[in-house]
Amino acid sequence: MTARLRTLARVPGAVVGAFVLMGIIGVALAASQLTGPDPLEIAGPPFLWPGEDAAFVLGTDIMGRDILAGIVHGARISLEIGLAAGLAAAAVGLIVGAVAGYFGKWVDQVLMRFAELFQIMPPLLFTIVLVVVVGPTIGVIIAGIVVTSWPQVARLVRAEAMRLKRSEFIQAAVVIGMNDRAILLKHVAPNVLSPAVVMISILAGNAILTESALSFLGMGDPNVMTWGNMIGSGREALRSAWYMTAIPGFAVLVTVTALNLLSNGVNDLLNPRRRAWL
Amino acid sequence: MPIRNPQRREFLQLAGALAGASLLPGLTETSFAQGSGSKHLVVSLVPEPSGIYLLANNPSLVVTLNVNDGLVTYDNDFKPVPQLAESWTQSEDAKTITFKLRAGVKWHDGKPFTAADVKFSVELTKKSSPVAAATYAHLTAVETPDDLTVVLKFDHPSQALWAVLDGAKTQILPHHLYEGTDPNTNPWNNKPIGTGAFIFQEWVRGSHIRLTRNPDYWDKGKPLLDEITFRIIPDAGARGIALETGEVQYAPLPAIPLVEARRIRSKPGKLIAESRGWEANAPIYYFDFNLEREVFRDIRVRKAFAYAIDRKVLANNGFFGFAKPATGPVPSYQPNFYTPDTERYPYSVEKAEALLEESGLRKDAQGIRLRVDNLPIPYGEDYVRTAQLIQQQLKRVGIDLQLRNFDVGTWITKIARERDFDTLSTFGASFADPQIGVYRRYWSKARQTASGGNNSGYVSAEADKLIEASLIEGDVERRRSLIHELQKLVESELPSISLLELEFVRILSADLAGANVTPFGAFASFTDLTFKA
Amino acid sequence: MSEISLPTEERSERGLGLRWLSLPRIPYWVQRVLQAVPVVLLIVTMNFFLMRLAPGDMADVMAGESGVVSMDYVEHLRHSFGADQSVFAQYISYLGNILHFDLGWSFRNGQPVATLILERLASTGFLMVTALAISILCGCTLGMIAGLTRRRSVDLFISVASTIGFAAPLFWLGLMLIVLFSVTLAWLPAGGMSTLGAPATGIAGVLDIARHMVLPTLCLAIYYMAIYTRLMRASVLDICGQDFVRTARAKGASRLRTAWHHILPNSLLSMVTLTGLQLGALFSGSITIETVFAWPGLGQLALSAVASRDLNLLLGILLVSSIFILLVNLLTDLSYALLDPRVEASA
Repeated sequence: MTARLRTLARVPGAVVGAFVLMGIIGVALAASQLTGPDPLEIAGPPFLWPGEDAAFVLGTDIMGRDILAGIVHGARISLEIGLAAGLAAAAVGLIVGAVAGYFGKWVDQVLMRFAELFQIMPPLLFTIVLVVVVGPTIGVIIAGIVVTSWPQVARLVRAEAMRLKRSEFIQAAVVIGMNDRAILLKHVAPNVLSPAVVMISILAGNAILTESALSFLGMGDPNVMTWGNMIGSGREALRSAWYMTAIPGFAVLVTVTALNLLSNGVNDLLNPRRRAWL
Repeated sequence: MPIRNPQRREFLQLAGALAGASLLPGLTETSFAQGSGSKHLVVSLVPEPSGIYLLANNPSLVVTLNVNDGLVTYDNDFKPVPQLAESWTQSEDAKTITFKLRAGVKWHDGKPFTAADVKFSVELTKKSSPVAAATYAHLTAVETPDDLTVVLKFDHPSQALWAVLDGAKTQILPHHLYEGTDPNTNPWNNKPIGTGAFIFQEWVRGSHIRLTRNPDYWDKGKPLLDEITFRIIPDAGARGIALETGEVQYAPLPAIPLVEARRIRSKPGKLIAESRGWEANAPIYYFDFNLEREVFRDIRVRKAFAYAIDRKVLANNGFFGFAKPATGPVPSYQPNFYTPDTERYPYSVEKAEALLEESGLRKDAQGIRLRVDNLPIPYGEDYVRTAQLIQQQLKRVGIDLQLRNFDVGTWITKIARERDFDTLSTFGASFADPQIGVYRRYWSKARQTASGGNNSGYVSAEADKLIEASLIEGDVERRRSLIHELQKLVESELPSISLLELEFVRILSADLAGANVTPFGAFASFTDLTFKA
Repeated sequence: MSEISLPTEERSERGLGLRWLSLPRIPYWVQRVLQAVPVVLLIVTMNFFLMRLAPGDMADVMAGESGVVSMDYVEHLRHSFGADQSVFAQYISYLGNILHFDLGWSFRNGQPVATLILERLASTGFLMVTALAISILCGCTLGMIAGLTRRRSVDLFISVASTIGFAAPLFWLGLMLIVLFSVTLAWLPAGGMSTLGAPATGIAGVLDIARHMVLPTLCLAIYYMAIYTRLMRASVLDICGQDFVRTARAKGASRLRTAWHHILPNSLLSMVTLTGLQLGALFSGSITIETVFAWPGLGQLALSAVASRDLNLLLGILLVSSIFILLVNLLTDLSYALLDPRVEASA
């Protein structure tokens, strides 16, 4: 027990991040109980500043919707977007990276050129093109984020896989005649998992940021309350009621910070000798 | 007014003071455009136009009308006022109109303006103008007996003609630069040569368009300004701030969030909100049903929607008071055509629910009886926000309205080509004559348009008959009564709900004088505009 | 938008290394340029067909913006843009143009694409380079301080600040800066590149542009400063543990001297790599920043190209930005020899 505590104490950032994140998840799960089921509902007079009316702790927005309700319900959508995009990008990156690193040669070349494509194109611009082509729904936004972020994971996983391939136990497996698929699944994948896992929370943070940027640019889904949509609609009143923009933006900031802290901590724990560069 | 927390303010000021200490001290004065006696006006233009000449969108027109004059412009009562045409006469049967042109007018490149320019331009308008072509449909010939006389000959009298003779709808182009070219791709469209009060100087894409005073303008002593810069600021919040700081002094088109406009209207200070000047454009906000959908063939369902939407709430919370409930497609401030005797649909959840029950749409387990989508017009937050209000109101009667948020390209494709929508929430100009803006919403033959057309797909022999009769009606009273009948018909059949008369506002610096407040004012040339002494 | 950990394996691959065609006797940089061609072509091809899938084309958008429009007029526009030809024919003719170094014509703007891009490239480049320079300078300094300091509180403060800077939505940060500096304090202009009302020249003109640049630059720089700070700190800690630094310290070199002579040059290597990798993301950031601050740059041009379905323009921007990013990566690679003392030693 004390050993574990000591391990955790080495990564205080991760502990803080994890706690904050758990708080946000808790709020998101209890959203309907905390503020009622529909954050889009017109709940009171518009333009109430935070604290002006005890019934609306964080005030009301341009249409009279409860900002607190928006924040807690938005937490749910934002986390869903983050989690879905993070997991999917990590999974795609893991598969592509492992295959590229393990097989090497032309497979590697083709896959890595393909990954490079998405790193050279400005990622936000490409996501915007996708959203314009298919239409702005949460699903499409997630897909757009995944498409532009998997290469980061793939590159890391590939490097691990390349190193593994030279290792004795993989060589041994080849010698005893295991087929590639089995080697990939049994030996490579589990051992290259850690860089992908570390990336999940950072990717999730990026996904939340990207969604908010898209909503800001007017490409959000108006049927759900996301933090990005809140910033987008609040910005109209930036001059007179900046709190409408500040509050959801702050929520994004806190969540993404927590996710990054967690990611750094996990990285330190999993690869104690290799420090996170970012 | 919001109550601000004084402590937070102080903190922000302190933080700002600390942060600002290192940032270029001394450069804090707000610059103002006047200086050294030269009168230079900075105007907000949004969105950046795609081109200047030959486009009927608002930003293009604002620039066009400063560079180029039309045959006529309008006074407070929609009566034509001479511009390039000095006088005109109409024959007894109203089929022949003769214009005497102003002598001595020169294009900005020095070439004289003549009847040949007018002939070329009118013929071009008849052929390809998106707005005015229909009104010239019965034009048979344009004759030019001499350099300063133009005769238009028609098959039938055309009363609406007088509403399209201005420089926005019948643009008079220099035929020496356009003859024999494809006018739509003529490079002069974007570095326009005109006859107007200001001369085009440059267009720096993404930044600004600059015009300077035309010293040879026919109206001696005008314009009063020396220079105009149309500045393109894409973000609405940033535009509001630029107006507030005096960097921009005039916004003829809706430029700032309505929230900000409301604040300016309630407390005019450095800025003034001017509502006059849009009556000739006459924007109406409406809700279209796609009548190809089975469920909307039932008039009870359409009427239920009309009862379920609270127009007052839309006007107050969606458009922040810059709108009022409409009673039909013609705005109430156009007394020549408006009739109040139409069927009304006051907000009533009970009536709406009763009609929906009657039509057989029962609530399911989730309390929903109908799931349909809505495509709000992609022209800014105001329209998305108002659609969200409609969404909330319809929810109360068990209608689940899913909003689909598209950009302009997708929106138009969904409506005009794919017909992939259940309902629309949009606005369109009714213009100074219903023939130009209103008929297109109901005329079965006007169906094929890219936007603002007969989106519902409404086909009614009766409506067609009324519309077609009025097109060639020479008598003012008889035409008026046909237009009244049309309003009554479409309000009882309700292929589209005319929800609100929108009030577009111009924002002006209090230092400006001489703004044009005629119904056409928002688009008029800035000839009389100047800074107060 | 982030790159976590640049392990040594990656580093040896030299940025976005393209070593797959290892042709003999061809100079390394020529190989690299040749290898980049298919990547650029693929980017153009992919986006060409993707944009063709988007509902509506330029004629529709222009018609929609024109207010009242008949479908005949739309067809007429479409014909004059050549958009009524088959997709494949358009693709082939586009490729043909590219091979002649012709980026085509933007019908939406009535100007050649190349002119439009050149006009905007300078303002975006200026913004990006300034922001990058500030962030590298400040980031390096802060990261070095954090990595070298013996006071844990300083390290903690810098680390926490950079974590937060890294997590803030750029455009939101921009809006908040506007609220503070333009609205509340009225110190700095909220947007644009210069004061248009009073055209200033000379020193006054430069100062005017500088004032307009402060907020957007600061905003872009904060994010990248956070990245560089963290990178530098990690890099310093990493290198401090290595033998040659320990030896130098043991020989009695001062802390600052060690930092200057050994740690900085070594860390610069990873800095340079990261800069190359982050360029695409930096451009993404400039899209939102340019919108917030009404900065007339490439990011805004790209957004309007997407919105107006201006295919030639969008492809032109993608082409130019891709080539630019590839070039920077190539330079990054080539500069390794200059920066890496170990490469020098082995030569």
